Amino acid sequence: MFIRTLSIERTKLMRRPLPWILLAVLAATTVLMTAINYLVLNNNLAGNMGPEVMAEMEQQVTWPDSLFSAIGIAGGAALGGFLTVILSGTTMAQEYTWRTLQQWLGRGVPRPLFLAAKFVALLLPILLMVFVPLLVGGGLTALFTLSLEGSLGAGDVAWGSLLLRALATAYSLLPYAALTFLLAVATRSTVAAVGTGIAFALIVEGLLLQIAAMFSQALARLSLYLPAGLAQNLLQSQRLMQVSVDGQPVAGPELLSTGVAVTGIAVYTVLFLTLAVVLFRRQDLND
Amino acid sequence: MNEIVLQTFALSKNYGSVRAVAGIDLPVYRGEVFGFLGPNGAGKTTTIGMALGLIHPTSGQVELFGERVSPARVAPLRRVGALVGAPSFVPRFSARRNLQLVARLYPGVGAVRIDEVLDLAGIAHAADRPVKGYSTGMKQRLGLAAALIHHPELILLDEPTNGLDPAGMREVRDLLRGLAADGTTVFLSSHLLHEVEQTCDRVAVLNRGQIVAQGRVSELLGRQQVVRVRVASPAAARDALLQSGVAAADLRSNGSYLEVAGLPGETIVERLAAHQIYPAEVVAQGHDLEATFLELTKESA
Repeated sequence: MFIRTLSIERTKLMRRPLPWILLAVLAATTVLMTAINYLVLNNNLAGNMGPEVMAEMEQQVTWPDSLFSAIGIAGGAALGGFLTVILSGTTMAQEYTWRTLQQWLGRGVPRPLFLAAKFVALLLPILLMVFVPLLVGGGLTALFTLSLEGSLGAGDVAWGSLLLRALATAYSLLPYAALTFLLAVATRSTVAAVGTGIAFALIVEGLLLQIAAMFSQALARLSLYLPAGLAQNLLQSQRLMQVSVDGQPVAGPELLSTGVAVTGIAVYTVLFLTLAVVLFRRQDLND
Repeated sequence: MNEIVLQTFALSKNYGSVRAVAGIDLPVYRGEVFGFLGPNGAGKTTTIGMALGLIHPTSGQVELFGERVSPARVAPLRRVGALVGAPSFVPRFSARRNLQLVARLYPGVGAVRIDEVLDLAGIAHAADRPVKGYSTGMKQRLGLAAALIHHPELILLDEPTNGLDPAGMREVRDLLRGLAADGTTVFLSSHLLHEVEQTCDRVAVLNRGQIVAQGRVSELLGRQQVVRVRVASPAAARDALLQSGVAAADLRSNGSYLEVAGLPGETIVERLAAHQIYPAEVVAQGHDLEATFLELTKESA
């Protein structure tokens, strides 16, 4: 039953334009940002910027660092989080507005199974949200690298680290998808679910992190346990294996262990989904 | 026709202080076409919603094929097909693609059956058009096709002829009778009296959440039937019938006629003849379900 329902949900999701439009937006943004960096760098438009800024810009448009930078756009606090919230909220809330829930649940599909299948079906587009900018950005910066440096230096790329980072980025999007799922079930409204989800991912969470840091060290540490804080820690720990320009690992401030970050993200995801299931089971699905 | 496929036990649903369904007991037997009749807002859709595990009963319970059904217990619904309210599908998908999705839930239901139900519902010609361009009647037909796709043992239909033209209504009625002839149990909720009268074997009349009458359509019509008897002395005939046990409330003198409610003409003649009274004329007044329904709902109000 789960596999059948998952297959239905996957078709319903991937045969509609929305995920492809969101992926196109992501790809276009990646192209735009990378191209702007390249143009600035290549035409000496950043002449009055410091050498450090110039070096950073060069890293962003040349391999291997450009590959890691390309994934950054898919992060929870970046465009990826925004688009994940739109996709997740719309997918679930439209079942209410289209009144299609009755179609499936009235056929003996258990409610928790239905929600689980719907969420699992979201994993593919979420993975694509990370791999599309990687492929588009990677392809484009391959050309820039050849143009600027004459060779790709593919041997310098830590491919394992790159794959791990991509997967970790996709993983860090899960709490946002689950939260929006919960909001969609609670409000039965696309606008309310997506609006609140975006407000949380892009505004509230960021503000909480900043305010906590302003008040005390303890609060700042506590705020690391928010989804954004956990994602930041997880991605920084992956970055330990990233190869920098001079071939040395780039170490970020790892405040929480990778295990804590992975577990925390899982806890948020499961918690939001469990709450969504509890609410969903209690709902009357009237005409 | 003795096996009960759907049964409600003191089923109730409250929305705040509003009692939408008030303790209804309803048996539906295998192979029958059961009419669920009531004015708008009587609680028909809420009852069906509870039978389909979409709405939590406030009290009481529903059983399908002897197994309890609730939003947490939905296994028996695999044997049920339903069309509730305005049927909804993925708007951008064609009718065929929507049915293909539904068919994935049921092993063994493939392209051949999809073509069959599209044909049965009369939308084969529009099968590959996006559903968002469908008229209400076409969506209704698609809903019917989806309800039938897995050869359900019981189909629950809530106002299935909404949006259909008279020819379409007749097609649906014929289809339902055909399904019943093949052994499918049909539960037909409607506010269209002629639809129920022409299609159903038994009927329950729901008003303000309560069942006000339940039985075979012919029984319900008989219960309210009025027979006009022309006799030489209506007063003598009245006395004779009162002596035979007819209630005074069921007798009304009208000139040289006596009107008798709730008894068939043969019984009246038999009872009068026992008192040596022989009517010159016996006319059964045409009392249709509409009049019965209006009387029943007026009484319960």
